[in-house]
Amino acid sequence: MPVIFGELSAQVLSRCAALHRAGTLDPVDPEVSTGVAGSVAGGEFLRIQLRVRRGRIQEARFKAFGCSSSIASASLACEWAEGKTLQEAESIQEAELSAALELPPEKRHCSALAKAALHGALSASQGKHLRSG
Amino acid sequence: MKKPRIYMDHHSTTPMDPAVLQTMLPYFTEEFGNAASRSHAYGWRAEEAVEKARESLAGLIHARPKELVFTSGATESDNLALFGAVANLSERGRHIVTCMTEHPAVLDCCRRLEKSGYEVTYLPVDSTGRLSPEDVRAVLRNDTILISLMAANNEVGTLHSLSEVGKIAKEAGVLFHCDGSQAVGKVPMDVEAMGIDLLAFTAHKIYGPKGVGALYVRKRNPRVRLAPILFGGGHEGGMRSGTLNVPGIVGFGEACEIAGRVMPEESARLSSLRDRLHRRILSELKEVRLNGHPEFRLPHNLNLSFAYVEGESLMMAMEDVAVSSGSACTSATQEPSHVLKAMGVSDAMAHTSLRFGLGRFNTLEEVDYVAGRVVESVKRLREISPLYEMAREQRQGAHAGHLR
Ligand SMILES: Cc1ncc(COP(=O)(O)O)c(C=O)c1O
Repeated sequence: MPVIFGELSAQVLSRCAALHRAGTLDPVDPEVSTGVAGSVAGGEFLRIQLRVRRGRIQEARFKAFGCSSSIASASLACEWAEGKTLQEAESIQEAELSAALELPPEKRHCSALAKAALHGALSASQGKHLRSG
Repeated sequence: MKKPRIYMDHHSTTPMDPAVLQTMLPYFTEEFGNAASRSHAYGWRAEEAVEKARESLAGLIHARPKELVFTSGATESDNLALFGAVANLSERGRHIVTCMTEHPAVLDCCRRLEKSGYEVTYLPVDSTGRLSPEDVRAVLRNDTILISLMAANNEVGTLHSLSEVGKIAKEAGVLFHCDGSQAVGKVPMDVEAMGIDLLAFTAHKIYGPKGVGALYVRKRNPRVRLAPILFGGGHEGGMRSGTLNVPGIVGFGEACEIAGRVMPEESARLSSLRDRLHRRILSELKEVRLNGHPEFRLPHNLNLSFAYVEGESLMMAMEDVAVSSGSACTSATQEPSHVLKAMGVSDAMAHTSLRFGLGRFNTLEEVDYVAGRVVESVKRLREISPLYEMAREQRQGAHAGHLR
């Protein structure tokens, strides 16, 4: 059987217990934009949705198919994104996420995935903004 | 991390039976002799204990005591069987037949042998994990020297038709090695009836100590000759040098005695608990799939895929229960279980698999508790799974389309 390396940090465990910011925003809502990252066959698929009003993130929600580190990464990325402008949210780094969650090196791809999903949602939102502006 | 309250991972290892521990204890202290010491009673008594254990092992697999070689575990036994057997047969041929779902202890030996000029055929299995004996017959060649097939798979518990493969091997005059790690002591194993020439097994899977195993090496019809892989004092008839692990061997012997005695009752009890666990899960959850053979399966094995929920996150959601998963999230390039892949399970479904291995000390209350934890955790994780949401929307869309 494949081996699962490393113990999980208290941060990862408590995030997976609480599942802060898990949920769905209505994709039909013009303020809502969606980003996804990962692949189902690869065992990890994340979705992050943002509700953006006047350039600021009002709400961020995730859904995750993946290990606890990727669930925790998506949850934390959403938490950090809320209240930020699109530009500010863009500067959320993979390294900051993994440091806050104390991810071991072999789990860094989980926080990278969360960042990728967040960036997908940010660019989708910018795209909408450009089109409507 | 919180210590799991319930252990249900008995394919990985088992706790020692307290009765086994009791028989071992004197051999760490008063009876510490070297079984190879011929000049005093310390040695004689150690040797006597080792020979008694050898009889217990032999009894469990219908062999003769002299046909057993003690090793450090099934990994070493598999290595000794494969490297030891082919070394003496390379003039006859260099072709080996094995199966895609074998344990790495066999597969990695085969890959190594391929590097030194042997040719290995890795036979496929069907969707239940079973190999067809006719496939074995079909790939045999004049230069085939060895067939290596496990008795029971460590992930999905599927049992192969050993007697049929043994018969095919006999007819062709090819040696038959069997990795019995998961089967010996759990289901009846008989090297005579099954035509097995080499059989690897290990104490820690049957409530014995870790770090001690054995290899059965047939002495008659045919007499199997092995080249050693460890050199030194010539212990175990020259096949495995090194001072014997007397306490471990004593514990292994006792574990075999107990296993032989309780097997019918224990396998009936565990398979009924296992079926109860399965039923309870199915009664509350949809889209749960059994990995393995519904019938030809170890009595204590239950391997399930829970669609839309990744295995590691599920294990962590019920961290007070110790089980295993076929998923592995360790790098950007993830390869789920090679066993499930060989059975044709998609990568996506393999990532959602969980293996339950019930054991001697699990109770009905524990089974019911675990069933409850699984149901609750899967429901919770499906609620946050984007795949579950997509599937639900698709179903609703299809339904709406149908109405229109
Ligand atoms: C099928 C199989 N073969 C070999 C082994 C290795 O056994 P050991 O741990 O005694 O080396 C195991 C145990 O994981 C197993 O399940």
